[in-house]
Amino acid sequence: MPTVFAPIDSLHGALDYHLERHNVLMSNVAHVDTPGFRPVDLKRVDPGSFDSVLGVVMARTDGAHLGPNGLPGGTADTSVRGETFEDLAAGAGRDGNYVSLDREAAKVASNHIRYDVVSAIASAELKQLMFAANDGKG
Amino acid sequence: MLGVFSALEVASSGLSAERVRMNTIAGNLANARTTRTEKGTPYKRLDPVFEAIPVDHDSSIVDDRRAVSAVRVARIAEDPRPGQMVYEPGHPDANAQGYVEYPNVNVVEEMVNLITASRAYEAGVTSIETIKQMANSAISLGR
Repeated sequence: MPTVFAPIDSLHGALDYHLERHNVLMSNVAHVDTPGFRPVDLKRVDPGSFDSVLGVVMARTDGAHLGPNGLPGGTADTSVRGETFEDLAAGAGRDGNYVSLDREAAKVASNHIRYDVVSAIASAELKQLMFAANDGKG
Repeated sequence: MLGVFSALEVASSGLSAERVRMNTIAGNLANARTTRTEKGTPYKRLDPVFEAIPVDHDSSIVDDRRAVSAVRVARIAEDPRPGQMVYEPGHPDANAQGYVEYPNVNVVEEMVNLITASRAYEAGVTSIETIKQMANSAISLGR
């Protein structure tokens, strides 16, 4: 049963994911001088279907309707999962360290923007709920 | 759960490691012409060796527990390269042939290390600023 907070739940997972990725990237930046350090990055595990990306599933009112893997309609799994991988594209220095400050800085910046975008959307969702809770009186 | 505060912890471990590096570089530069130490040998340049300490955490996002690690200064290593021999027969530390062994400190090399340490420190500060802004936008959710 979807609740009024269902749209926020999926955004919650996205915020957690971007915070986790920032942690991982921050650790890479901290290790810019650690010999032999191999930087890691986080990527999202493919959620599998379009419905689970959206976090919603349309109700199937007819057996002929398309559904996620033939499942009946309802709420989709909104949890966000990530997996780590070593990002060695920058190449190693003479001490075997693969961290590139520029690369990490760019990743941190883009991750920050994504986080802000998701939090702006979450704010807008909460504002809409507030609007509804106040009987549309602003 | 790995959150904002553990991110700050990891970043600050990087900052203190870079600060140790700055201190060793300052020591190397200050002792660039020191021909006497407690051991009776000329000063040898020092280099900090950093190592990664995994931060144990539970995460709902990722299972890999080694993804995030803090920095620790494992040891301060002495550079084994020989020092420069300068012919100065009048110097009190000159050897039988009149040569004085000066420390193996190369000022240019130290300056380059100083700049990279300073840049790494700045990068750490920037990532702390970013996590603070992220925390702020999380706090202002729904306002």
